[in-house]
Amino acid sequence: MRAEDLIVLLGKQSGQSLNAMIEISDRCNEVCVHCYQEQGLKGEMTTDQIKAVMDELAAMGVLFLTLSGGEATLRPDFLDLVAHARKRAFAVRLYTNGLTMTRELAAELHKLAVHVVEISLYSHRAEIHDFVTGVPGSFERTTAGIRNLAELGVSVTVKSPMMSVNDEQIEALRELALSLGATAFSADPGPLMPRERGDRSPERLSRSAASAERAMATMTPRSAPAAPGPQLRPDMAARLCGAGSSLHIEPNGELRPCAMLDLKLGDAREGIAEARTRNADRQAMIQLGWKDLHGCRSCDLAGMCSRCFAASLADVGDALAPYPSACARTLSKYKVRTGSAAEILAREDGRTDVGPYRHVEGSRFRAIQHEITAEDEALAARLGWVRRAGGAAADPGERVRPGELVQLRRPGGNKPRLMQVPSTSAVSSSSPSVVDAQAPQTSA
Amino acid sequence: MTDGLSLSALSVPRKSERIAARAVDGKAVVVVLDARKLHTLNKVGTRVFELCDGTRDVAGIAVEIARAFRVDEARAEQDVLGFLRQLIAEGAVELATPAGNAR
Repeated sequence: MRAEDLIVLLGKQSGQSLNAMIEISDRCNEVCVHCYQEQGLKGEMTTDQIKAVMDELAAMGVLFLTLSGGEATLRPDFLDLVAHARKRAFAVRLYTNGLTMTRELAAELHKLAVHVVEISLYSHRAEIHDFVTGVPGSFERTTAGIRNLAELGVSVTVKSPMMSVNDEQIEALRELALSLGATAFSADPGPLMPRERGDRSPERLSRSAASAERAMATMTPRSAPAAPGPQLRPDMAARLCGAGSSLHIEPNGELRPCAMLDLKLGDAREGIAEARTRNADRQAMIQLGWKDLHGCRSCDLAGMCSRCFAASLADVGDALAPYPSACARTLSKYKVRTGSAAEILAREDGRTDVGPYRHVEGSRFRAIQHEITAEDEALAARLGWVRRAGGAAADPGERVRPGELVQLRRPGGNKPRLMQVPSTSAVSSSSPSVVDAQAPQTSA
Repeated sequence: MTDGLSLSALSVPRKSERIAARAVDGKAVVVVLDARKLHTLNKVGTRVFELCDGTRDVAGIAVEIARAFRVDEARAEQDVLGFLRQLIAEGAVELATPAGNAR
């Protein structure tokens, strides 16, 4: 059994949370075009406050502590915090963009026995990585940071979300990561998420459905083939995701159900265990199941669906409703797992992009209007957070295409900026090749 | 690096500084960070691991184990020695420098 699976199993059996994340920094030295965060809005806990939070997490039995940001290493007390985490015998995971990962910092992290450093690298091509981060030269600094860690024996996982600008070249990125000394590479095939407060700009970097289907076919071999037609319904009482179970702490100490959902469940500085026990939203959230999803609970494709409260809120303004991006992903999964594309007949208002879907015959389904019951309305009124004030977030706009000149909003920027999307075709003569891009570091 | 072969009843074991560990349902879960390996210990192993605090020698740990689990002391000492050799080989435990040899 893999260690990660064993930890999940132990956590489930014991009811003890073994993983937690603290975003220790509300600042970043990159402005990644796909980032779900907005920095500089929350403020940060003091050194002593973070140490006290770590003390409580250790007492609660948390074993794996992820330190993230923003960019965690920008805090002047960063190493002091890592040292405190190690004193409390956490296995420390660090999420960083690697820009500050000098040999000296890497040596300190090795000395402190950090478990793993996870570094975001978005392409094997410098111009694509730098386009994503918004920082010229970031590719060279990040790849140097990976090397610095790897040469000292620190475990490094290189990771990247799959986006329209890099998804055709993920294998080349994997090869680069491993050649730099990374111990693991992880490409996230999941959808790009809206920013906190509902800005959907990152979704403009989403991959095409065809690309998502290719990724599903090659990257999720665990998905067993399925017979065409209606899919077995999920257990109606089953949890929808890990929101509320995980321990996620924002830079200002706010406890949230997960990294994505902008909902305060308490203040870690005032006691984590107590907030988790007493917060009514959290208690209700961990009880939510498929039975509470109006529409989805009667969908004949629900068995292949995976949902996210935050994405649903941004997409349709209702965390418990069917939403198009989940439906699109489910239809892609249906195609990959059954080998045949679902034909969707339109509902009365002409829409086919959102369920629930009722099986007709073979791989033919009909989109149907569904009823929101009085119980559904009562649940929404009781929970409050499941309906977004103002309804759905503004449409993100057209998906960007490689080579285009587009207006894109980056985190922290009030106005979209004009930028050229790099071409994803074969490396052009003017683009730095992988070898050229690394040469200065290698010879230094 | 500690040599598990030099382990004796007089050795004083302590937990390595390069591990992470927690009790889950009363049993120790130990992550050896450099090896990226995770170990789950049974109840007896957990107690032995807890007692590796850099102050007790192996004989002292064996006495505690014999008392707690109602086994013969000689048998407990052999079992503790064998188990500690495994923990040392895995990098979870090391031998503390005897106080007299401290520099």
